[in-house]
Amino acid sequence: MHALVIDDSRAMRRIVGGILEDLGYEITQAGDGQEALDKLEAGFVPDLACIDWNMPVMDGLSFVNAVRDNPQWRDVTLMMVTTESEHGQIVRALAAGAHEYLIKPFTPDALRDKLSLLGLVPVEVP
Amino acid sequence: MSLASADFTYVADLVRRESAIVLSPGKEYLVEARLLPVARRSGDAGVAQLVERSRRRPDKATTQSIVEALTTNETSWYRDGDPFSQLGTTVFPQLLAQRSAGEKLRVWSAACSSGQEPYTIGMVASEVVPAGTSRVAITATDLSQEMVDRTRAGRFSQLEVNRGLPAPMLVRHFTRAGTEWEVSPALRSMVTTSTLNLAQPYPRMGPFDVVFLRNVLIYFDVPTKQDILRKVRAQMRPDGWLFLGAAETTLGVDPGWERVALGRTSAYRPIG
Amino acid sequence: MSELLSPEVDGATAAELLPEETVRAIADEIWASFIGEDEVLVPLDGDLPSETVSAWVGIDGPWRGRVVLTCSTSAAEELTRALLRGRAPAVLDAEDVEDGFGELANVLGGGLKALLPEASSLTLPMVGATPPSNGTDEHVVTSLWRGERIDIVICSVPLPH
Repeated sequence: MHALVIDDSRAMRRIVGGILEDLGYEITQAGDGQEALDKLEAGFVPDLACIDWNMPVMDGLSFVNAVRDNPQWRDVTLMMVTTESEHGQIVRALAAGAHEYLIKPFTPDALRDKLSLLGLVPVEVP
Repeated sequence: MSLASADFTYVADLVRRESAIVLSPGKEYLVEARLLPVARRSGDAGVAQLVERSRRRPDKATTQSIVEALTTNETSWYRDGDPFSQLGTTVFPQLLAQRSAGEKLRVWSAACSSGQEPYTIGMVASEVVPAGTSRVAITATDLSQEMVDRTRAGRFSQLEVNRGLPAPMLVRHFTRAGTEWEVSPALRSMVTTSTLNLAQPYPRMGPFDVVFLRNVLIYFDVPTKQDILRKVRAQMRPDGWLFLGAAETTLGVDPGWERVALGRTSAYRPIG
Repeated sequence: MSELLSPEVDGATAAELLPEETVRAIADEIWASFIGEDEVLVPLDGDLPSETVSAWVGIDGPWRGRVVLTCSTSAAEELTRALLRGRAPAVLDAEDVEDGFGELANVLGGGLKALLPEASSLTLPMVGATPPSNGTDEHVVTSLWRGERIDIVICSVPLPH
């Protein structure tokens, strides 16, 4: 499993990436939506993208819209991971095509719960 | 400011005795922060005064509020997933086929904690049962009055709604209320709450079509488990469904049940 | 952003819009989830050292304001280390602390922004020795974390950020 972690905070990329690594994910990072989109356009298609909302250059909602506009990327599971927590913002993100929505702050368990809702917790290899 | 070491030791001993939960040294700040609201509610000037009062003249209510403040456990929505997906894909559809139109479907959440389980059942019902919010009635009980009050209030913190509640369900069934999220009036109207000690005699409830008795039998000895399972069966329809926790079973405890495989989980149905 | 004055926020002070108990509730959730399960902000006073660092975010909307997090430089470093859990490098450089401490202010600002009566947006976090001094009706919420004083200051800002 491969996850793309998109956040302008390096600390947040380390936190989200670290929890996912513990679950067996390979991690690629991007500091804003455009940098992430460049990676997709270069042919990198992750299983999961964890997306902050407020970022410089290109915000997370614009990134979700861009991914959903391209049928080649329809298998990428999109999860917002953001401090935006108004009811209306969550509705907007889901309407744009995000599959799940995790509000900051969150615990590692909360991130794991979301992945299991998405069927994205890798099965441990014995 | 920090808690005196003798006070910390007293609280840690009390909590270990009552709940088997260990507060290791270094958790002084946690004890201070969690007990400050308890102290203020009970009219003590501070945590030191609360501890002093409890030490001099221990009373059940103070002990219980100290233990509850220090042993909060987080509960997830759709906990363990499978029982709730089976409720939606197998149990409710079968009940709808067997019951006459408009007949109420009754579900009992027998250890409802802060309410995640009964409201999860309500959300599943509203997805798969036509007019589910009026057709399905959920009875939520718990030993703790505080948990029953929380369930009735139907308000959850940001951290609680982050735990396993699918985002589409959050926006459909909840609205923001200050720093918390509140269940919709329709969902709340499905749930009736009351305190109930599972080890004592039960009032007449039900009869229930479905019972969730999850992760609670593990706390009782075998004779009490047998007694609880017998009393639960008496509150159920003969073709009802019982869900236990993943680590629990009726096998070898009470012969009155048939185990039925449902996807990756199991349910139990009364025999005879 | 709309230039129309909102009846709900017009003339309201920072403390009226975001009262102390609200600020504490949001901060407690951040500490319990990001700093550690048993990490708490104790609502007590303490001494603020002479050498402090601040992280702040602006809120733009019908009400314009700022949320500032201030503590000693050593506490900011400890907070960053706790935030990164086992993933902190052995030696945190200034950029690590700036980023980690700034993200705490960002999450705090985001949590508070959601409680305002009308839709608003957040500016990207800034970190420095002293926050801008153009705030009015400052509202200070003081706590202790592991014995160190942590201040959260909310203020109105009359001009665009």
